[in-house]
Amino acid sequence: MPAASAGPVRVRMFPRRENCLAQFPISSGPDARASVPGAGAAPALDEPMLLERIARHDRAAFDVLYRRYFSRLSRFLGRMIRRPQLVGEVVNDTMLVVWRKAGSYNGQSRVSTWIFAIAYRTALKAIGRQQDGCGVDVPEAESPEESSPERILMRMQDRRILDAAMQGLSAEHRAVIELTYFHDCACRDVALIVGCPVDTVKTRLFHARRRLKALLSTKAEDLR
Amino acid sequence: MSGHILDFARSPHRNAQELLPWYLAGTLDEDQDAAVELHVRGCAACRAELQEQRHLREALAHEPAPEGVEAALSRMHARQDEPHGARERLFVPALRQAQGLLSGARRWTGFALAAQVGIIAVLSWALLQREAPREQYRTLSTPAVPGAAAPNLVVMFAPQLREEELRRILRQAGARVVGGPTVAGGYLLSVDPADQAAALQYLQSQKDVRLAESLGARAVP
Repeated sequence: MPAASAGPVRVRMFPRRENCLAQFPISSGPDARASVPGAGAAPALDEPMLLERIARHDRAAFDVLYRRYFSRLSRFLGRMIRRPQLVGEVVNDTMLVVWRKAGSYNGQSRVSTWIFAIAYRTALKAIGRQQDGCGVDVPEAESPEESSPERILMRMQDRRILDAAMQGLSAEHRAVIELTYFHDCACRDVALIVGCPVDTVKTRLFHARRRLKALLSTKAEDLR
Repeated sequence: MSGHILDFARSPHRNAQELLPWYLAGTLDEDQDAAVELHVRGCAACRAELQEQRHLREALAHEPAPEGVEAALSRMHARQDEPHGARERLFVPALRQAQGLLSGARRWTGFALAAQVGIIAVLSWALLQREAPREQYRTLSTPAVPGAAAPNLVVMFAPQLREEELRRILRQAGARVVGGPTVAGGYLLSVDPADQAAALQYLQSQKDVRLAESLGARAVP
């Protein structure tokens, strides 16, 4: 917890996270970690060690890593490629690169950041996009907001409307939103994953939020 | 003043606005965190935005269950064995190709649809032709072979009957086997309807014929 130098102690809704992507916020299905043989309660093998073994073609180590990342990658890639029936295959494309390139991991970022960067590039390829050019697509003339903040909140909480609005964003916008809000990536981690400067990421998320809000406020009827 | 000037190019308000999602997630470093907090405390717009961000974060937290990990992993195992040179066989390029085909297809969608309807019609017709005989209800008096004469007698032979004896009996009766053996071991015979009574009499007289009946209203074994 950061010490607030002066003033009252802030009560956070969410605990401070030190490690983006490492704590998957929602456990769905059998817990990947619990199913690691011999892992016990805590992950017994740290991830750089797993990658080292994978680089030597250790299949058991690969399976451990695969199970650990499957849910997170499915969620992220599902948001990115918008084709639920293909998510499993694109997860496997990503993990195939991990299997083949494990030896090139140099320890300069966390393993999770390295894997998500691979997933991000794989997803862009899957939807026929070039590498992220680090441009910031500024939404053209913001549509006038017709809705009250309360109405936007209501629409945000309607899962179908929120999903449809998310799909109205560019893949790059969806990625920064997803990584920041769901996977709890710090700004610098998002920057490493998408391969762009930190300032680009800040601006990109800012525009993504405005665009999402515009979609929620004016396109809600169209989205239904 | 807090002294935490983070970005001279941006106003503190814009800076705080940009960092709000990470502030909320607790992923800012301490300097940034303190600077945003200081600004938000005095800025009603940022507090309102923070509240909205909180809702968005909660709304996005919903997690649809992914497909079963073990099934996906076993497909993965098959791909791990592909040779290294098989990189082009990644699923992704295939997907892109499919998307390209789809987008290019819009121009001739009408033609494609018409062709598809035509093909479906032809295939359905062919299928119905093939299926039709199977749908028919078959009785013992239905010819087993299409075009064959309808049976009008049923017989059961003694187990020890020799084949040449069987041939002799059938010739004498003027009958041909057109079906059988039935579940009970009977054979369906066809005789000239004009000679049916005589044939039946003859068959019933043979010691090696256990049973001979006319196929009419009477039950068949």
